[in-house]
Amino acid sequence: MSNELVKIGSKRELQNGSNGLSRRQFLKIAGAGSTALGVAACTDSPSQKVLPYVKGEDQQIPGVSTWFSSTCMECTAGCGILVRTREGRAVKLEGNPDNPINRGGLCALGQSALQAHYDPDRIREPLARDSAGMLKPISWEDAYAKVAEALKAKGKRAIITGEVSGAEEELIAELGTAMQFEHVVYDVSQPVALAQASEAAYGSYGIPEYRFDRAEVVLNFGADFFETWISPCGYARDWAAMRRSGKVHRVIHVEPRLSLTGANADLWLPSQPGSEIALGLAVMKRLLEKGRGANLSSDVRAKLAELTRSVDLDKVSAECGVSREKILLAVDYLDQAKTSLVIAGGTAASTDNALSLQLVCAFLNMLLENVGESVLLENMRKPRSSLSKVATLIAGMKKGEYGVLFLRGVNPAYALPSSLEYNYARKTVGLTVSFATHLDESAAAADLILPASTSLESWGDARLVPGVYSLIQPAMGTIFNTRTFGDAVIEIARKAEIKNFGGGKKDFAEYLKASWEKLYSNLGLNAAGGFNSFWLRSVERGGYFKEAASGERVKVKVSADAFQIRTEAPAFDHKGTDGNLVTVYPYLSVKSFDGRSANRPWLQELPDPITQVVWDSWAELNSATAKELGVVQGDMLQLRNYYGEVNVPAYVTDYVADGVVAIPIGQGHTAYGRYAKQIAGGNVLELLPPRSSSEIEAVSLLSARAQATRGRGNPKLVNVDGSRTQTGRDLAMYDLVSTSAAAAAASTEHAAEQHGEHGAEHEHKIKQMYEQREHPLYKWGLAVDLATCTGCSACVVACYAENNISVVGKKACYEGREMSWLRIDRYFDGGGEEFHVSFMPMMCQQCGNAPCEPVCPVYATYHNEEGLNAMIYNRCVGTRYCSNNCSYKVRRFNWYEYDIPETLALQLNPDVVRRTGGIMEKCTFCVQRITEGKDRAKDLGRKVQDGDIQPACVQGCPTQALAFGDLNDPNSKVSRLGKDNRAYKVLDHHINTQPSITYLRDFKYRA
Amino acid sequence: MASTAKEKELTYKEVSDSVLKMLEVPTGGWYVQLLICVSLVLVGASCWTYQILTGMSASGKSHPISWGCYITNFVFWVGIAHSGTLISAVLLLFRARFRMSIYRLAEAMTVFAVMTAGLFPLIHLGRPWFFYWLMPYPNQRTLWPNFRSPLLWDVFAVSTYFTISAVFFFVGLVPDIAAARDRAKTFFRKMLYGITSLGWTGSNSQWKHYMAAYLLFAAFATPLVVSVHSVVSWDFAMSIVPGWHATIFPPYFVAGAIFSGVAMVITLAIPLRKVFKLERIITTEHFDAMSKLIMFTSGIVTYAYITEFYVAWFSNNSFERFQFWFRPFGDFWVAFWGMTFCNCIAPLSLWYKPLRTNIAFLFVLSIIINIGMWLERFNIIFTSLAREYIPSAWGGYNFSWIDVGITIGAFGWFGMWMTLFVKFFPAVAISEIKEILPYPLRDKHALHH
Repeated sequence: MSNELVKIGSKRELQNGSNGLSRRQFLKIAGAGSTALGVAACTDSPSQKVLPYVKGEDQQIPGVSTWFSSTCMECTAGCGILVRTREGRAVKLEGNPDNPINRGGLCALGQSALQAHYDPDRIREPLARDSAGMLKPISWEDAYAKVAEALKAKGKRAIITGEVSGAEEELIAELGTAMQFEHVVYDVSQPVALAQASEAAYGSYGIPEYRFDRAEVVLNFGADFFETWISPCGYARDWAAMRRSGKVHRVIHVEPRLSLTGANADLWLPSQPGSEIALGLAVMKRLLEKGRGANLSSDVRAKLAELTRSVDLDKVSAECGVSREKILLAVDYLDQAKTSLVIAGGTAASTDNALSLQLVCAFLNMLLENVGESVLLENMRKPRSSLSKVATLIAGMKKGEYGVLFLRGVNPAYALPSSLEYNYARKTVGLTVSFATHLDESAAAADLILPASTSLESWGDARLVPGVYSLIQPAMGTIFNTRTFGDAVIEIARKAEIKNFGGGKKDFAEYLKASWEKLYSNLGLNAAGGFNSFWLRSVERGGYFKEAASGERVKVKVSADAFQIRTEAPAFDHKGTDGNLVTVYPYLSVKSFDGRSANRPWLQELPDPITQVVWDSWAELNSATAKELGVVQGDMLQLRNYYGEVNVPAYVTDYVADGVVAIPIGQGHTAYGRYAKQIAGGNVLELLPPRSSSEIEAVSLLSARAQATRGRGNPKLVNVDGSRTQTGRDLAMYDLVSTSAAAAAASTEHAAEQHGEHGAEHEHKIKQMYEQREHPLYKWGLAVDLATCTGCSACVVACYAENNISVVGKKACYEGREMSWLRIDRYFDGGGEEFHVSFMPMMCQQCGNAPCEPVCPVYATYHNEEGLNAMIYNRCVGTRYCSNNCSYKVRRFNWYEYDIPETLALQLNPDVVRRTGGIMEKCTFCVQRITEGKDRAKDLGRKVQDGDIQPACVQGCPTQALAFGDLNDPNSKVSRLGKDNRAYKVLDHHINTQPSITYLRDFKYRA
Repeated sequence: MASTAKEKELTYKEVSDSVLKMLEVPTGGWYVQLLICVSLVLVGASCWTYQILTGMSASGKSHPISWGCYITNFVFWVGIAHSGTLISAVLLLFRARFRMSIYRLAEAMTVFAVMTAGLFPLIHLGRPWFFYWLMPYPNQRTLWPNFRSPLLWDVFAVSTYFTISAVFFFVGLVPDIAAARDRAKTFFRKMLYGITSLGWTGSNSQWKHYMAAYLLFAAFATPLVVSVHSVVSWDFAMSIVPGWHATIFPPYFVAGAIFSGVAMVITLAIPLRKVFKLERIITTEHFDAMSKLIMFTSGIVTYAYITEFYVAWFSNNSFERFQFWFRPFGDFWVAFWGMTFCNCIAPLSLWYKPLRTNIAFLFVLSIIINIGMWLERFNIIFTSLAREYIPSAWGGYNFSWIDVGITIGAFGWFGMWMTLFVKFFPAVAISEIKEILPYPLRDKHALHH
């Protein structure tokens, strides 16, 4: 025995490096070695391409992260991001706190941009169609020459893009002037009708700036502003700020389908599709009767009164399916609020009557004196998406007028209603050139593909909102043989011998800088070091963000067009149907958006916040409709009309209106990539008629009816929730508050002062047989405010990205083997007036008295001195007893040795080990970040303070519903929240687990 | 047996002859049986190999139900293993003479059932190649297992039980092996019995020491009857899973184990008796006695079931209550009602005496009870894990072919050892049966005088 001990002792000494190699030296060599290995591992690309030296080599320190500010280009919100790179690879995207649009959070879609970047299905080199019609690799020079050749021929030229802004927009404009390219913009997600209505009602085209942090009452006709509408991160943050303020704050959501925003609303009023306009007019009439509108000119007032003359409240109530009392209540709330906000958006507001509904909302905002308060007209976003231009272009294409068509950041073959016949029209175009990153439906049909670099590899900027000028900088070198779109365009111009194209700039980076120099002088800025220092400062911060102007308010100019309001219900196209009619309700979701994110495993595996479905498309319909059609949950549902057919598994729910079938847009790809193609069933946009209204520049999503029948096959719909309700178990706790007094009590900061004593008392009442554990230095804790958690699932994706969590695929999810360390438990509770939807982020509770710890026979999991339930992966033998005994079911077992495709593996966080098959894994509050934060604090010679450490979920949360910190420090945010009178711990009073996570009860304001 | 007034008393010779006849050259039927068993073992082994190569995903386990078929099998086989020691040791101490004819079979069953049960914790490990990390021994990894974990207690309980029951089994065999040795004809058998009989001559002094040792082992093994299954039950009772966390588990498991073990003895004894024509040695009286043991333990098990429901109601704990509502009326209702029928209702038939001696009926009933006891473990493990505290994490189980293959393979493994055993070692205790027979010579002598 003693011999044994001596041996062990001497071994320890060796490990400590008593002779020869010092520990520091060893680590240096090991670090360099692993970097070399990491680089060598990317066999698919030349290694010198993987290591970018954007800012010089001195930034590349193995083991140390380098951060680059940039802009998220996933939707058109324009959120700022920080790209964390390690050894030359981008490994994590986080929200940029400096950017005024999102101020730190980043949604699930934005987080997942990394997977688009590292997608194994990205186009890796230029491709051209050969004589046999196959796409074959081609060199860039030849590709440019091909385009230049085509440009010599006669014929019109066009470029279709998604929403673009800034330097890229200027460059495309130059394409127009120098090479006669028509620029057509198409993006199905753009609320163009809203921008059009603003032009008529307020006097200028664009999307007003909405201030949810000022609106005490929000009347919302279908805008899903927590998930996909305009700027979800920013809106959610403002909404959360309002909720935290302690003021009574009501969101009244009117929509035929319960969306994420509806689920978070204080009052969700399910309506019949298309009836929103009637409801809006009824509200307007009532407000006028109440004498609102004194601020408006008598002419406008009279016209509005005329408009609402024939509105009959009872008839409206019957038509909408919203009770008379509820309508009156909504009016009272709006009337009494100092500032309110009326908005319409999403599918519910995307009928052929959309413009009228938007105009009604605009007038309601004027009546309620919201313009200038919660509706700001100074910094309007100006979407350029135009269906009429698309339709004209396609008509021209059909006539064979077009010789060259460029596609950039748009997938018309998929995202346009197929009834517009893009697929037919494009065949007549001489040369279709796609600047896609992926071989999506449109790129796969193009003649020439000049693969674009992603926004993580490119220079660029976004000027979507006046005053917010965001920069995009390459955070790493290109992975594949791709080029920035701008570079490719400049090269094409050079090959086509266009003189002085782009001001003669060598490449797009220079072009961008020149464009910013113009911006600099236009804005009349005067930085200390001149433009160069302004530029460097902007690159560092992620852009230039103007201070909020306190200048002139824009004057509202109501035009005569604004009164062209069609008061009747919108029309639905039901061509080619024969009985069993249902209303098709395609909607945008954060999972697949308009189809652009369908090839990202993180998002496919992310449970839809409402239905909890993964890896699938689905059709929500209510139980009455399901019964009529003879379908049950999981059956195949076939929808058919003149325009197309889709086959989607049925999801039976109580939360869609009768006769409505709601299907998320974005699934059912026939091209695009391995993950997107797994989801069969068809693209719901194929059911839509071409253009239902000539006045609206957007696709009318809610304009088709289809014949529904039970389809064939067993689609095996996978939804990962074990139960839709919490069966009366007080897990996700909530209050339905009615009085303002109660609201005041619910205010976080206020309550912390008042109820501090109560909380402290509770802490001491712990019953324990054994000695309480000591946490001498730190005790990490988390607080989750259920009142501001919207269930948007940004944290879930952030967790996947940060912790290298395996994506397991549909089959394994079906078997209950998903790996998410952090999931969002969604419960529908109560009915009628008591209806409430809970979203409850559930991750390891780091119990003080953890059930998982004593049962592990090999000490693979143990309690560390900072209060974490640490997990030693390589010690685990896989008895899974800890998972059985975990009351929160947050431990995940590696049922397989999970594979990760070649390039996606480049995203893996080098700070977190990949787990092998047969072992358990779990959340540890991002222990790698805790270590990093402690190191940093140590270097500064102090203890860790609030904000030093942010686990991935906390960082990503758009509403700051999560707070992390040291529970030993009574002044830390998490300690203060722990004493809030809304604070509680899940299951603690039942089984004394003493979780380190405090939840704050949700509250909703009810009548 | 001695108490039965048969037309013709059993004699020492008849006992030796009929028992040792079992060891004669195997018939074709024996080979077929061995072949079937070995094939099943191969099926199980291939399934396990597949599982090791692909990961635990091969089994049907999932997120909430991360113990499934294998732990059910483990508890089932440990339960089977129980009655061996009960019959041999406890009944020896209680001087219950009906044990004499069946205890050898029961002991063999015990040893082989523990050998089967012991495989399952390994099969069920995520990384079975590291199973030795559960053993406490000084190692250069300077790691030590966690003695607070019931799984570690399991390691000790099962390995202790195996050691003791194997030794007890072997010691009991020695005099009979000597008898077989004396009649052995082939070289192989002479060597086998010669070595394993440890030089037994049957001398008075040997018997004296032997009896003392045997009694000592019996006394040593007796507490294990209670301890092993109590410890196994702690795997569940020590956790906080609703439906598991119950103080009734140890006695309930022990009773259930005896219940299933006796049923398994009947299942094995009936064909053995038939094939080897042991009707005069293993008589209906013995079956009657075992039936009574079944009636008794079935009663305890039923009582335990009712108590569980009562306690769930009485506790006013919503999680427990839900769990016990879920068992009869939830997704796994078939298992619950199957268990209730097999373990509580079917054994009630034994209150009718003619059925206790109806061999065909008993055979069917014993199989029903075996199924019922498997379902009991299924109920405890599956339903409890399927519905724990957090509703959003509720889930189900997808039985896979690997689960089925390994379960069948375990029966093959057990059957293989039993088949080999009955051909190579006396499956009925010759010497002990002789103990309760009238001494032949002395009786004759008495008559003479």
